[in-house]
Amino acid sequence: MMLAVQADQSTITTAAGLGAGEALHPLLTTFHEHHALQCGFCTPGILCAAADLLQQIPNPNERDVREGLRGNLCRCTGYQHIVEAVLDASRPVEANQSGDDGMSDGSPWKGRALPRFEDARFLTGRGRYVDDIVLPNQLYAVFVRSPHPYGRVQVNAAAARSMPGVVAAYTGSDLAELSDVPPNWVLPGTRPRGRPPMARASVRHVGESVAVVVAESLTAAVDASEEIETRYEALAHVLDQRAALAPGAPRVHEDLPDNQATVFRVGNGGFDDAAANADRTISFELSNQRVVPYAIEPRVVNADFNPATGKLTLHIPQQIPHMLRRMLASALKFPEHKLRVLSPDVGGGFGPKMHFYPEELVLSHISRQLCRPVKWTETRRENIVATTHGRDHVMNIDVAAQRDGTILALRIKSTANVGAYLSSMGSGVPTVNVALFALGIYAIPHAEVLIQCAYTHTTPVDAYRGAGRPEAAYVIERTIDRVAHELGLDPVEVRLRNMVRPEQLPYQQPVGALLDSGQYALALRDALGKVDYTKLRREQAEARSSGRLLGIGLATYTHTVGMGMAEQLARIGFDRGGFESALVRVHTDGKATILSGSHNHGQGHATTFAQIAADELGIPPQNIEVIQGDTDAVPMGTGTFNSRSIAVGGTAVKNAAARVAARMRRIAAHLTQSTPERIAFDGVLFRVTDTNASIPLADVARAAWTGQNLPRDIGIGLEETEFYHPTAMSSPYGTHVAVVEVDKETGEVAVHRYLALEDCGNVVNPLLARGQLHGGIAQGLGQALYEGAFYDAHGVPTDNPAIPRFDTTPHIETAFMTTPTATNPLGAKGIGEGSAVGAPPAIVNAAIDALWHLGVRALDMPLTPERVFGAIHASEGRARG
Amino acid sequence: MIPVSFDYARAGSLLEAARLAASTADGGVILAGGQSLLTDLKQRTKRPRLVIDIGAIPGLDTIELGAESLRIGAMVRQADVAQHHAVAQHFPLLAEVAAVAADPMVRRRGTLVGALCEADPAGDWVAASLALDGRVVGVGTSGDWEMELSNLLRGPRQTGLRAGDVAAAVVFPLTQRHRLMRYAKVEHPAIGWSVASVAAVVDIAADGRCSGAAIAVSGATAKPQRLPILESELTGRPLADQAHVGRVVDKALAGLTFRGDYYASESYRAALLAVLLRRILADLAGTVPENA
Repeated sequence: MMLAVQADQSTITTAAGLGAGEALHPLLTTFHEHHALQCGFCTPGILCAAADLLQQIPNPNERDVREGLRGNLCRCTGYQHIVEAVLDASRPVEANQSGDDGMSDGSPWKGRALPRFEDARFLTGRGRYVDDIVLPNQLYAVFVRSPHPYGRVQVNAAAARSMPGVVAAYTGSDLAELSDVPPNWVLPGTRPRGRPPMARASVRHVGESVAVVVAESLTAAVDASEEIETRYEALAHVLDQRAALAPGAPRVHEDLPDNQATVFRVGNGGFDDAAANADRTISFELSNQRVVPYAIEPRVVNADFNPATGKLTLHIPQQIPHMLRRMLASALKFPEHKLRVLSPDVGGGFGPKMHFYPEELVLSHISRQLCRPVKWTETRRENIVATTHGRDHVMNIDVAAQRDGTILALRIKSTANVGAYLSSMGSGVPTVNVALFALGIYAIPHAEVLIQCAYTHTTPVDAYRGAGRPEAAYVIERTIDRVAHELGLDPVEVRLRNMVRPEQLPYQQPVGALLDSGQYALALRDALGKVDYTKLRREQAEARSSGRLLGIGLATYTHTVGMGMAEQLARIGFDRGGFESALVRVHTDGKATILSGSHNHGQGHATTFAQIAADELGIPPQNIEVIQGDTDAVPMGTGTFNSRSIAVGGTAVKNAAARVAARMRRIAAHLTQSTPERIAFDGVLFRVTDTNASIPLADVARAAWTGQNLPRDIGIGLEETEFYHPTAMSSPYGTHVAVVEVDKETGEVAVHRYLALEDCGNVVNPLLARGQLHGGIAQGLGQALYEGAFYDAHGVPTDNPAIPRFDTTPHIETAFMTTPTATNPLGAKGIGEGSAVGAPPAIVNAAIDALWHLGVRALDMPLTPERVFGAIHASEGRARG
Repeated sequence: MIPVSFDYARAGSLLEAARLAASTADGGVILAGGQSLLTDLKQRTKRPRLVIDIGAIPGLDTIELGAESLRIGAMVRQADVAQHHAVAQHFPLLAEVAAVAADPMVRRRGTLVGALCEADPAGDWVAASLALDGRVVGVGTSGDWEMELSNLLRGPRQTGLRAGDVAAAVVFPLTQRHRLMRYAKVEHPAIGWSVASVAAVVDIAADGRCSGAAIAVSGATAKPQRLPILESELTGRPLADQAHVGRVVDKALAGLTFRGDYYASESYRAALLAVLLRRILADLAGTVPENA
């Protein structure tokens, strides 16, 4: 970091400069080939740092690269593809012949590891994120936020209003006409308290806004924000969910004496009877800590009301643009058809960028009042206190098991922290999304799950990569290992004994989940073979005899994805559709556009959706453009969450493209005096299979779009819209194996080896799927080892939630198994979240495996050295006592 | 975030920088590598009227090996310290620190002297410089000054510098060269700052006894400091005597004040520092050639 003036007389090379001049920098090629970028937001910085690294160290090894780039953060890739790309760029060009060349070889496009078509703009610094957008007459907004977790507040904006460049300043009372931001998923029985647009008389978490200043420049707005006068009367607060539910706790909402937001119970009961007949009953407690999602791009809003057209355009990084349009229009009492949501390049989503936030409501309102565009870019500190957090459960587990490891019954009671207000999915994520999936891949005959959600004086908690399913997988996978350790059995044996067998599928669990397909034992054995589990156990024993603490951890997780069925969503109070849209259009030149209601924020839809459509249309995917994130252009959609893009959005693309392809064949048949069944297409020409007649694609397309010489009744155009509504969801699954070493003296946990074997059904693009695995594992590993919100006693979360870096993320081995699902025509499940679901239990199980013989039983995430150290010493103390 | 508005001056000499600082109401701030300052400016935790850039002053970016000392100028970047042959030859401890302090980009911009003047209790360079008996020299409006590092470091991010004092260099006496030296650090996973650090410089006699020790710590303790009790208790005893080392490490740490935060409490840092000290001393003991 330096002042611009310090660069006087210097030459500055940016990412754009690496691609300029006579030859591309080899990094641009290798980043593309290795899929070393997802959302692209951090890419220019990493490219420049990597170019510099290669100048310093022309032939680096993996450690050099991880150390050399450790100052750059990426939240998407898990770093591994970047490391591979940098190493590859240091080698002679002739050695790089591994990538898919993108040429048609007649095989399906689906399944090919094509590098992404959308990479070029990110690699040359030309990604366009919302903060890059500066509109004519642009105004800038800065929010003032509460430093107190709970209190009454008085705000005076008069001094700020008189500052130079200030156009307006608003306090909560100036925005009294605005309604609260309502949650979008309200579980029956919930007592919803939505987020106020701005604190009115009370603040209820650190980071709640109390004023906003709007000025001609960002500098003027920041300067004036310091002139907002606030007086707080601090009140007793409560941060912990169990404390909040205890009698006499401070109230978060004055009208809710018990602080309970909702309660959810599922299962078939029978625990006590099963326990009475079981060989062993085991009880323990664990926590799934609150984490800060920490997308590298923070939230940004640029609200632009045009009084001449009456249209409000909202530029915003958003995973579900159409849903935001609906929610915002409703809260703002603004006509939905006059509201346009534009979500261009998005620098990482991970869940928090699908929620509806107060800032969107406030800035839209202000833009309407001022008739000028108003932009706000969240600071990192605001991102930590005002953007939703994830997880935050404390769970008590009772499990009844036989001596051989057979689990007879499971009972889970959890208290979840939803924060001060109910965010969009705040009542559903910690309840339905945890409880229904709490049995993992196991056939446990009796199960009960009770989840109680509490309001506290903390930032609202909502969906974060996995959204409830990681919590579910964590508790069941920890339980399986606990049973194994308590009974002196191998964790593999306990898993195999309780797994749902292939012949039992589809399998309905007593907590509600329906497992559609899977080869759980096969996947486990395959993963164990890949790491040579027997040898690992031998190494562990040898290490232990020489005083070293090795641990091997497994997670054989599943989670259900591809939301979903509208009738079921209605039953659980989730006010969204489960469908996804796609419009496929073949143009007069024979090239195609896909308008998709899904949204890409690094996943690579521009490539994968084009691959799906290419197989239907017979047009190479390079000739297919994917457009998302513009509610005026794209048919009504649902958006990206719940690992649903390929399974639901991709199926919509497939179905729409198939219908367009059928139209093309009909027209081709008409023009060649043939019949559609006799038409074959090679990407350029439609040929009649039994004659020599043929017609170019462009002629067919031109006929379709001119209407000249078309079959009767077919109508104009080569364009079809599909609203695909799933009839079932699917359950991807996998086996993760972690090998860790614990330093007994310091408590440090080092990951020596990490293998993830994933079965997400048919894979559209293995290169991109691997990138998803890496990124999810890094986030899961971050939760296991480093991350947390770490609230202090004053209700302030840490500035440094410790997201994984290049040098704190291990090398990751990946493998795929393929069990196609019958729940959608692609046979694809979901890949976006699974690895974040599997990684935390694998790593924590490994650490406990290393320490169990010392007497360590309880160990909670994150496994900071001090916690591990404390657990070792506590057990040694018990052993001595 | 955006800094408060400030004036910027590029000083042509240290004296000019000192006069500019002394003539500014709030004393201004000195910009060298800027790797702490620019963050402070962006977060408005520093709100200076004047930023005085010493980056263009001639002669500050050199490392000079004299007859009695090694002098590292105020604009020598941390990365350049690592590369310098005289450092590698005489003070490998500094090269070791240069490999683990902050991250490579910060080291390319940040200066060693600037890191000392930041006086961050979690800094790496302070521990190493304390162990090497570093002195900071500089210029003030009333002439040149020189300060023992232990005097410079007054408290967390507090120094003994007065308004108008501008550091010119850090000077390490050559009396420390040829001794065995090591740096050990446990770092915070988010920001790379030290959770506990040890810089150890020892002499080992032919019979394996420690004939002199200079040991400094940072990160774990409330302020970076030497450990005089440990130094004297080690001297004259075999460094390989791990039982003795363990005892005197515990004795040396018993009276210290430790830092603590959500990531690592005071008591954990104390325990961690003891482990680091024992390990680094065992490591140094093991480096004695067997035939010595």
